[in-house]
Parts: sequence; C-alpha cells; structure tokens
Amino acid sequence: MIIPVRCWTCGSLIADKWEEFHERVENNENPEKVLDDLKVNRWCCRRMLIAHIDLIDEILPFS
Amino acid sequence: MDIDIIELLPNSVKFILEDTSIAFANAIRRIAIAEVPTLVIEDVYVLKNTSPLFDEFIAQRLGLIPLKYDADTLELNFRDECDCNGIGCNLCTVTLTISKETSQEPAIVYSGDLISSQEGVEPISSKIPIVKLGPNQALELECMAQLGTGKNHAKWQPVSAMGYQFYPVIEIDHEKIKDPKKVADACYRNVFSIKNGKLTVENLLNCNLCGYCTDFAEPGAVQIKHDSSKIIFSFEINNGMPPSKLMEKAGEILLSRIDELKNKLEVITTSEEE
Ligand code: SF4
Ligand SMILES: [Zn+2]
Ligand SMILES: [Zn+2]
Repeated sequence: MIIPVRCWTCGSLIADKWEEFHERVENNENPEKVLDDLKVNRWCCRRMLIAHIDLIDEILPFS
Repeated sequence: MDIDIIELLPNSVKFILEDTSIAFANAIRRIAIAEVPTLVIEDVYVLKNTSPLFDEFIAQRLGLIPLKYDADTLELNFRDECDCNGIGCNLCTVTLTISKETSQEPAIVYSGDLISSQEGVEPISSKIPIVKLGPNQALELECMAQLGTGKNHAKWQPVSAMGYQFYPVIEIDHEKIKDPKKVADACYRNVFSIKNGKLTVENLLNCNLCGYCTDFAEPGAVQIKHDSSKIIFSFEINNGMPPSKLMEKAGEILLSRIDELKNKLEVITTSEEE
C-alpha cells in the first residue's frame, strides 16, 4: 500500500528512506549498496524496503 | 565501572561496560525501553478526509512518527498526572495540525506538512510520507501529542535494537590446529586472520560467541569463552535524542526507583519496630 512508517520488528524509522531508495534502485543501482549508504543495517529493516510494493497509486481514485 | 566507546554515531552507539554484571546491564536496558518518556501523537481529530486511506489508517501512521522532544527545555506532564485531570491542556499536550488540498495534480502529504504549536517539537524527519492525495482530494487533521512510555505502547519507545552480549575471550592452541585456514573461513563474521601460517584473532569485537568455528577445529584447539564482568552494549535511538542523554535519563529513573524502594522499606521496618 504505502511504505510503513517504522520497521515491524525493531521499530526504527524507515519511511523517510523509501523515496531515495526507490529512486536509486529504479536507476539500476544495487539495492544492497543503497541500503548500506542509507545506513539501514539490520536485516529486519532492510527487508521492509526491499520487499515493499507501493500500491497507493492504484487506489488513488477511490476517495 | 568503566565505559569504553567503540562506535558513536548521531543516533546509535556501541560501548563496553567494564566491572559490571549482566543484571545491571539488563536493568538499564529494560528501563530505557519501557520507562523513558517520549512524545508522540496519541489523539487525532479528523476534520476532513477525502484521501484514499481510512481515518484510522492515517491516525495509526501519524502515531508512529517520532517527534523531537527535549525534556530539559520543554517541561510536559504525563496527561493522567496533570492538573487538568486528563482533559488535555498546554502543560501536557502539544497540538500539531495538517491541512492540505490538491487541485489537478496528485500530491504526497509528508510529515513536514505537520505544523506544530510548540517550538522545538517537530517530526525528526520531514520526508515521511503519510498519505498520497489524488486530484481534488483534501486532508485536514488536528493531532494531539502527549508523553508516554514504551510499556504502554511501542510507539513511545525511544530506542530500538537495544541489546548486549558478554565480552568474547578466544583461546587458541596452535599446537593442536592442523588446518588454520579452515577455521578462519568458517567464521562468518571475519574474526580470524592467518598471520605467518598461524590462526590469529583479528576483530575480536565482531565475535558473537556462536561457537560455530569450534566445529572446524580439533577438539579443544579453539575455545570460545566470555568475560562476564565485561559487557558489550549497543542501541539505536529513534527520536533524535543523543544516546548519552538517553543513558542519563535511564540512570535517573533507575535511581529514583531504588530510592522509592528504600523509603518504603524504611517505613515498613520502623512501623514494625513500634
Ligand atoms: S564464535 Fe562465532 S563469531 Fe566468534 S569466532 Fe567463532 S564463528 Fe566467529
Ligand atoms: Zn528493523
Ligand atoms: Zn494537562
């Protein structure tokens, strides 16, 4: 749907990193390196960004 | 007690506590997680919401946004201990508002759109997406932030991934090892290196005491022990407070608890004597 605000497991903030992550991965950067750059160290937080699919645009017309 | 800092970043820290016990480290950990107060949004009044997400969904996301709050410059009461009897007043509540409307272009509502009524209180990042608005949609909210502790809800928890381990002590018997390379390669945390054909400990602090490497050495050749008076402690801060400040707060709360216990015991023992 929309990127969760915090990591489900450890509770650290991840939502503010989503846009940069998404943009850089779209530009064919290696996700592993981008996550390291963004200082997302633990794998609980890394999976939040890697496994996320943004579906908010699909439901946008249904207000 | 000595503190030896291994790594200090703006929002995370790793250090060694010397001459202490695991019980003490755990007391600090539990207090930091459950008892150090922080400020987050608790009540949300929805004035207008024509966005694609439900009111509850948006309120839940707002509640998870960590807010900057410095207990030394801004004194707030817990709402249930405040003079207003839990109704909410300036001394216990900070109001934040959002009002955003779109015309033809869709737009994302960010945490930066939250307008705080109190100086010094704001989201720690202005780039947290809250909801996306399509053409001709509007969102108007009034949010009430209040103090709370991690034992009531995890959103108030100031730290994440707070933990500790014993200080590793690795003993190597060079006579017994036949294939040092095999042992060095077995460790997935790169603790060992080979120097002059001998197995040496290179990054001792990386060792997490898992004992996996001992399976690849001859019996008794590599022994993983720990020093139980030394503890490696690490945590990450969620709400922008400096790590040293959090430890200070946790220490203050621990001391006040001990004082409370002592006073109660004194009252009981004196009343029994009478
Ligand atoms: S105990 Fe685990 S982490 Fe430590 S050296 Fe052995 S394999 Fe590596
Ligand atoms: Zn996490
Ligand atoms: Zn009040």
